[in-house]
Amino acid sequence: MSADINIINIVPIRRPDREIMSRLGYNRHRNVMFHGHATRIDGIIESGFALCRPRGCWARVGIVENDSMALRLDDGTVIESRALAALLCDSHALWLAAASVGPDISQASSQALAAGDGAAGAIYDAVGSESADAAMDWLQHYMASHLSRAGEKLTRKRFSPGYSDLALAVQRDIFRILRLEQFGLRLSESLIIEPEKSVTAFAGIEKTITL
Amino acid sequence: MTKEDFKKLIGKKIVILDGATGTELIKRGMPQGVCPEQWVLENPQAIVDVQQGYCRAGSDIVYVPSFGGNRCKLEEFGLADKLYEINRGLAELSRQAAGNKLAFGDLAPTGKFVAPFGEMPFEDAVAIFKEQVKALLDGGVDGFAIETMMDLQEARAALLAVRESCDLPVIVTMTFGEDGRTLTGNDPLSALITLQALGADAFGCNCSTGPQNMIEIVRALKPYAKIPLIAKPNAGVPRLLNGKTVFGMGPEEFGTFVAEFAVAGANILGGCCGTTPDHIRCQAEAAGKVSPQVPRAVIGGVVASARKTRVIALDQPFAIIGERINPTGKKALQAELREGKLNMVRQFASEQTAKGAALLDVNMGLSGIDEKAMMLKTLEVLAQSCDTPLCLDSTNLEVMEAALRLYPGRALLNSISAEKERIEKMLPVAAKYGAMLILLPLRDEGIPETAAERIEVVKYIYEKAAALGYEKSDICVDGLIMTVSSNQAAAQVSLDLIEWCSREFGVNTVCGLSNVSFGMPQRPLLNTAFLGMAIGRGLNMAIANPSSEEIMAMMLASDVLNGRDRKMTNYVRRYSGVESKPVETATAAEPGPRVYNCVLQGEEDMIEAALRAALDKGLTAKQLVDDFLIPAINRVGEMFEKKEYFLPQLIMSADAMRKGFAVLEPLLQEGGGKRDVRKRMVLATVKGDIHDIGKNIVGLMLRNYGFEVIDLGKDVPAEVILDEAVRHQVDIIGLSALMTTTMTAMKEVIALAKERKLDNLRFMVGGAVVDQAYADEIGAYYSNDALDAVRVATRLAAE
Repeated sequence: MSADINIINIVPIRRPDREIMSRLGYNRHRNVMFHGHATRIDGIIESGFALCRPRGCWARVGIVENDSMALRLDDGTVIESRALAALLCDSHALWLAAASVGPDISQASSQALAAGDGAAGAIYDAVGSESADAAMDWLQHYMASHLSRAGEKLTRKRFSPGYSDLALAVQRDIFRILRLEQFGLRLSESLIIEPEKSVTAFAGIEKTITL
Repeated sequence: MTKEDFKKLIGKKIVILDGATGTELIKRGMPQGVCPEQWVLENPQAIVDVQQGYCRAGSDIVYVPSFGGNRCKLEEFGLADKLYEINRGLAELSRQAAGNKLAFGDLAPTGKFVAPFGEMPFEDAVAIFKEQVKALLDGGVDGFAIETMMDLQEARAALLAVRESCDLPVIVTMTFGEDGRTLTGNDPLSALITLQALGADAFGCNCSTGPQNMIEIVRALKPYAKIPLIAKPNAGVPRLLNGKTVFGMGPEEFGTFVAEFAVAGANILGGCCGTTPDHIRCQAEAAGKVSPQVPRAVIGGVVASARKTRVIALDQPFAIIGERINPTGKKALQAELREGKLNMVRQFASEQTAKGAALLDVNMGLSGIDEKAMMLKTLEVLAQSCDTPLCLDSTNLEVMEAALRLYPGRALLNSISAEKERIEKMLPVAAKYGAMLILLPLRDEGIPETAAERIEVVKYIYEKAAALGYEKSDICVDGLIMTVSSNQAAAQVSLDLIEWCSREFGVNTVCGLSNVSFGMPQRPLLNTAFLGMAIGRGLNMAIANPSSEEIMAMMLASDVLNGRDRKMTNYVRRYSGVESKPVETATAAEPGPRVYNCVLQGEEDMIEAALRAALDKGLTAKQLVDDFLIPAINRVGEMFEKKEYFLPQLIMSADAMRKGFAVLEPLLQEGGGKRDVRKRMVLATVKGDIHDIGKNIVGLMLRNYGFEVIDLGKDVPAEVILDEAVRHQVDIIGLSALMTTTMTAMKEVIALAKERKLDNLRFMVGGAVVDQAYADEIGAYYSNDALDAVRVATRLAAE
């Protein structure tokens, strides 16, 4: 059974300034920021964010069995992870999602570094990473809102391959189920996603009761 | 019910809608997980009970329970082939249950994203809703309610589907979150402007929040609303309690908000999640005690993108329509468009927006390209990259209609003239999609020479537009500027027309500014002078390049002087300096401290001048290095350690330091004081890993601290790393990895080095997943950040 894939070509994220700064190590209580620093950093973040093209896709797949060691999905996929099984103990379906901001921001980061502009390289990298995460946050929030109309809810936490005991090799299952090659992503033999600023995640779908 | 009947109903009272349906059906036995539409048809008495309950409570309109009755939703239950029977059956049931009250067909999200935001083509979305609309019409509905929309483009598709299928009233509500926007980022005002222009009979919000938040939305929309405003809130803000969603607001409290809603400007009220017939009863009773306000916009002339609005009016700040997305006379853009590329379009949009354009003109008229296809592609690209409302510019009817249909906002159309085809064909199309208009005083016979003749043409076009529902606030008259190089009186004719339009007729005026100077030298002088004169006669818009500092200065200064820039906010924002509170400043008076501050503040662009000034003052290169550069970078390191600086600041300082050394290096060599060049090192991201930002930053920092770095790049096999280390006679190797799956390759490199008996090599490792314990395990030195890497490498190099 192939999953119904939903795609959004423009994920409407806001510029995740706080997260970008935090990723770069900014501490608002201690930092000493000169005007020149602030102007330049803000300008780089702005131009970097303009290079991000946040897109996303997701699907839901029914969970046939959860034996607390592994999940068996209704398309036959088996995902082994005690941690994921515990997170999804009340879930009857799995939500799988991928978000990417495209290749331009990583290229800009590399070009800046090659040109000796290390600050721009580092900031572009952080902008790409945090924008991809923000896109995933948006997808999760959207899905949660969408499900609430149907008497369902999404687990608050989400899980990605590589977390806890969830093997990175599960990326292959996500790529297959979400048909991510068609979405424009590639998975290397060492399980690295390209474009680099892309993320995948799972969450559980649970039934809820409205009073 | 006709639209006129609906207007009359609104004029008489606050109209009351129904409350929640799903929870009422659950109370009557509907199990979770079933298709509600099918369950209702199998258990018809349940919906009859619910809807009659609401009618008794005071609802004037109940919604047919067809929320999930579109093809996409029914497919989830394998019921798409029953779409017609289901929707028609539900409509018949509700129509019967409503008795002498009204039953509106309910259209709700498909769950898919519509182009340009998603994959579903816009016309597919329209077709999906039309299919449902037809079935509901056959079931006898009195009107339509498009509800719980999260995306303006999908709401547009549903609205067009209704309008192209019948003349029944159609109301639209969208769901705005606590941040005041839909999940897809649409704000209430952009949605109102777009949907009322497209023919919605009422607009508002439902679900997501309780009454208090919705009052604020209604209040904010009221000055712009030509149509009635709707509020259908939840019974308070939902809370999750032990896995159950709880709405805490009781019926009495729910009813207490009615008076405030009426004052804010709501004409239609109801309830959403968590509300019951009792909530609606309290609401209806309270509504009976207040009078509705007449829908009447006090602010007109608004254009919108999906996420941003702009008021265009005589008393509002001057509006520049960015002119650059137009291939006429732009060879590079022409070449790109012929290749089907839109990079320059995206760049022009971004630049013009940043420079202060209120709207962006988009013209794709170019021989050798498919103008319609390129216009639609441009709209998709701009929807992704730019929130500035658009001015759609084409003489081709087919292009214009396709663009207006797809554009997820309310556009300004450039332009409608008195030419027969424009009046007979393009004007009705513009009216259907509700675009604002640029009126061009031009006839089939040509351009009238005098202002008086042009005024007659303006009156004629406006009369035709008014017959289609246009008001003066929707109109911008083009001053039709001709170049003074061929007729020096041309400017005066346009100025007279502008003055009559703005002072007597009361409409906006616009001009293609650069036309006035065509064929003349020093065109910016004429353009700016004409702009000043035209603004003095009442001009409030211009199609121009916002990158022109002269034009923007003229515009902003004029807005201050004629009172359009209230409180002078725009002018002050643009021209007053931003206050800064530097702890230490790069502009220290003494040359040495200035060099120090350049490094401290990361002023890479200023350090060369500072060093040259210091050298001119007699300081030596060695003094500058020893007394200022080194102490400054050491201070930066301290600040980084204390978290007073973060990574970009550290790198900026290191960059300034590197540039400073580059300036002084030749002088140091001349003076025999050559900088101590430490050992070389090799850096690489290990095999299988393509993440190299950390490694690159470490490399940059090492270079800035005087290391010669041989960077082998990413995904580098162990053999290559060692071969290169041997070839370059290097004995320090830095390895980076980001993933748990690739960090193991570090161990392989070190093992291979042992195998090859390269005992002189020392390895440094770092990366997100690497820690001291792993480094110890594989026999490497660990560094936790770029500065630490410099420190470790320096120590190793000194050994």
